[in-house]
Amino acid sequence: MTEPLKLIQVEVLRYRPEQDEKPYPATYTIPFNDDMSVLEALQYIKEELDSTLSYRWSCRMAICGSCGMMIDGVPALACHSFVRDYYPRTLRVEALDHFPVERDLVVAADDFIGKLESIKPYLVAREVRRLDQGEHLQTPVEREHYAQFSACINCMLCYAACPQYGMNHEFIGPGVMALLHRYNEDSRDGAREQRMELVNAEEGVWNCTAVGYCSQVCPKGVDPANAVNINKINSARDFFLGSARAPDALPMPEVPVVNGPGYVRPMAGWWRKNPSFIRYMLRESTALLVAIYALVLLAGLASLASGESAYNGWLSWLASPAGSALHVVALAAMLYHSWSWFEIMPKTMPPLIVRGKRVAAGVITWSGVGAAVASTLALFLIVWSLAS
Amino acid sequence: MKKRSNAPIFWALFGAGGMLAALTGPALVFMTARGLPWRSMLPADMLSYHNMQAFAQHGLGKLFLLAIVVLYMWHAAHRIYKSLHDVGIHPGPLPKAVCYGSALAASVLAAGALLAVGF
Repeated sequence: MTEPLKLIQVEVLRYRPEQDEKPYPATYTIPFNDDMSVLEALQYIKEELDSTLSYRWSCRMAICGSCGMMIDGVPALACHSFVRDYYPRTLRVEALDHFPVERDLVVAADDFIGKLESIKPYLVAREVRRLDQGEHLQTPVEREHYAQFSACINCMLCYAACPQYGMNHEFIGPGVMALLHRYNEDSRDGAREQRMELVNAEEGVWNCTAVGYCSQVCPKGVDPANAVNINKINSARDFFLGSARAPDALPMPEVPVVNGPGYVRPMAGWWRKNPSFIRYMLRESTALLVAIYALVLLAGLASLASGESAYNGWLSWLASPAGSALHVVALAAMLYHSWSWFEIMPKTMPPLIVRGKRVAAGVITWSGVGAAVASTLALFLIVWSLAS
Repeated sequence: MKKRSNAPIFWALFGAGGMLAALTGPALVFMTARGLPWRSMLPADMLSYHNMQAFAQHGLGKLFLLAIVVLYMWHAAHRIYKSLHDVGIHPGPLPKAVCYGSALAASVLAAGALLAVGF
């Protein structure tokens, strides 16, 4: 070693089912240098300090998807995270959230595997082709429809990032839905109608509340939140315009819920654990103010219908301290609603392709904000022209 | 075979209301804030009885007011229903009836008030 060694504390959440009632933190002090990954830190602990430590790993290069764990509270691949980024704090390592802890950093993946198998994660030939008909050709545009979703390595980080999966294991979840979408979007595939049956169920896409954190943690640049939300649109189209399901299509197998072996960690207070979740809850709570404000307007309409004095009473309530306080809070909520609505929009709408290139997320968000500003100005113009 | 969810109905209303609130919400709250300092920037009789009566009697005004109250309510009802699950009140017939029922009741009342305002 040419560089001086520094020491870092690594806190590992240990769980040995034959002797521990529940997981407990164990702290190790290890030397590290700048190119040491978290996986190497665990290997150091296992080789030098405590050979009983268990974790999964294989490729060391972010392609096998084995070493996913909570690193400093964030789902990440241990081989894809550097120890130096956590120094001088304590490096906290825990088994992936939302899965039972089988032992130490090893989770029971049975539920994920069962769900993955149930969606037919392979090409179901659209037509039977003979050898002499040659390959099934695909244009670059056709390939573009599914390419990013085929990069999934089944590492389950997105499941550890999804509170809806954590609270309800019937939900098919982000990664499996991204793979379902990958095959549905493939021009060579013929099982879309069958898979839509899974999409259309409550546990298909409809348990998703567009938290969006799944896409943030994906180590392969897949956007599972987009796959799920594109399929809400597909499912709604199916619902309103009639199912595209072929009458002779075979029914799909049930999406299983498998309670794998291990310690199940409680979900209580889940949203306090992560700034992304706090922002999500803040976004969702704007709905309370939208509802209250709509009811205030409804009261105004009712008073308008019952005469001038009732209406003037409503007007003076608007100007009262209570009315003003409500308006301050409602204005903040509406502004945050507007911003967060357009912030999540790149994930909730299908990709926008202009001249062969996908429009960037930032462009979509800021176009939305621009539209909100324009409609605000338009409303003011209308009010002024009506009043004068 | 898995049961098809009827969520698309509520989700479509949620989406329409969310988009409408994102585009019009801040402006409307700004305009109805009668007790806050910026009131002087707006036309004094903007919300007067006669102005608003004329607005609510006009077809386009009616449509606008109805869309605002109805879609805001359905947007909020769906989001609150989903958030109840997040805070530990699990989905079921009762939370669903309370959330969507309130939105339905508000929609009916808004339509009734707009009819009563006359044409």
